[in-house]
Amino acid sequence: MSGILVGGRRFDLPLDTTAAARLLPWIITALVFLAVVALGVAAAADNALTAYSMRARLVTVTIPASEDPSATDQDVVRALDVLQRVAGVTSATAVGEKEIEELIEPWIGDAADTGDLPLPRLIDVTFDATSDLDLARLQSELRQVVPGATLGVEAISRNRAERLASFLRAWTVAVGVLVLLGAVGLVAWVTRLSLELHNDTVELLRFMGAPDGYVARQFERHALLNAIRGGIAGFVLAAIVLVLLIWTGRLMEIAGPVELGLRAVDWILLACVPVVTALLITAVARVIAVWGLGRLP
Amino acid sequence: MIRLDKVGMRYGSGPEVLREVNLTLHRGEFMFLMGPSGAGKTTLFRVLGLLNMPSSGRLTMFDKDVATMSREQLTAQRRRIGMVFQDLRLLDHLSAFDNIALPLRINGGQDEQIGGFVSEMLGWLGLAELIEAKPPTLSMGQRQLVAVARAVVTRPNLLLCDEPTSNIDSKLARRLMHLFTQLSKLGTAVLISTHNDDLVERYGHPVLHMDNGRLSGPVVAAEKMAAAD
Repeated sequence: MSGILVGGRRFDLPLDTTAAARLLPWIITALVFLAVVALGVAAAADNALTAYSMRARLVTVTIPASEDPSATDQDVVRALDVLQRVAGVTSATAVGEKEIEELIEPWIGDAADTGDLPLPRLIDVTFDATSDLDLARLQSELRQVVPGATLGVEAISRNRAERLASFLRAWTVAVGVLVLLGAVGLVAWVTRLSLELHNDTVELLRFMGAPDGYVARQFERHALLNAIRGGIAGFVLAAIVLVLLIWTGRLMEIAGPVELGLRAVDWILLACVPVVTALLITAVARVIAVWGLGRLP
Repeated sequence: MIRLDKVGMRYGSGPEVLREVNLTLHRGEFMFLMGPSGAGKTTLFRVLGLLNMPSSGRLTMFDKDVATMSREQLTAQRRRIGMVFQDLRLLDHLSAFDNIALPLRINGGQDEQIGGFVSEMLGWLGLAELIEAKPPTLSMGQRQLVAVARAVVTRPNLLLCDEPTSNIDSKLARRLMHLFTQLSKLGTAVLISTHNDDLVERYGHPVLHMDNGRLSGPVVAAEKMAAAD
């Protein structure tokens, strides 16, 4: 027989007749879209941070050469003294002069070992990747004792990109969670509104002997159906946007030396967002409906 | 048996809508309920239909005091009651078939059994060809018949009808009254609210009168006519 058959199930309550209920799948689409994009960006940022932590363990300090070699040696000692006092630095080792000559030989040939050409000195610095070491500040401290000392430029820019990734990860996770909570709150409101708007029909069903659970299931199934529809649409749209974001991010090298991207496991976790949203929304619709029905005689 | 002892009812903190109502309805008993609009007839039906609980007094439904019933027991008791609401309350998005089948489905009936009961009912009411029609496409009289069919399809122990013949012609009204009478003979207690004196006189069932929340009677139709004279 006919009846309202949606998704193979019957609806005794005409829950789709209110504007709020009709808008629900569209709003869920938008919210799931925002949540997946936000959490996808967070995952990409997290991946970038992991990559940074694997790479950013070594920087090189360059001490400019002076006319007096002994003065350069003193600069190296002062720089080492500063570096060894900085929290997070695990080692600071001056590169031997012979090694430096070998490094620059391909460019200047035999002139490197004549001893006539003043050469800058290098210090290899390793640090704990999990420490909150500010490379720009470190460079500034070095320059106070050794004017002209520099840290590897790549290291500084990498540090900035890392901070940006860290910032993005924190904020996008927060936005994603807030958006999901928004979806849940919205469904709670729509369910409560629907209970009031369909009061006569709810009363009719209860009069016919429908237990609270039977009536609540109508709201629950309606919410689930809308969550599935909205969730799938929102996820597909978000996946397209994420692919475009990552693609353009790679083109613009916004993560510096690290390649932006999402792993297969990230995609699987992101695909769980609409599923979790649907389950949350369904549970909330049921709780609100049971609560509202429980207040009736 | 259904019994009301000094039942009072008020909505929230409003005035009393029912005042010390006493009534006893036995199995198979058939009564009319008359009274002016706003007298409290619909509220009495809501109390008897367990949609509202009495504010005072004692209501016994099918030999059990409703005040002591759990939520589940109240739900079970409601399944023994059929009601034709004054505003019919048909679900516009469901077909005539599904409207009538609704209480059977809620009671957990099997589809085959439901199909048999509902088709038989629709045929008896002359609505067999409108099985798939939705209420907005039906005439007022047809809608009234669907509402009556929905109320009686579960063969309730108590049938409450609020103006069931107000929108149908006399021929159909007689047919409905015949249906109610048959149900009454099968043991259903029937209470019909009406303003139709002719109907009351024709069938001669006891009449209750409600005015300003107070119930009087029952008197049989002949006594009522004599009192009017």
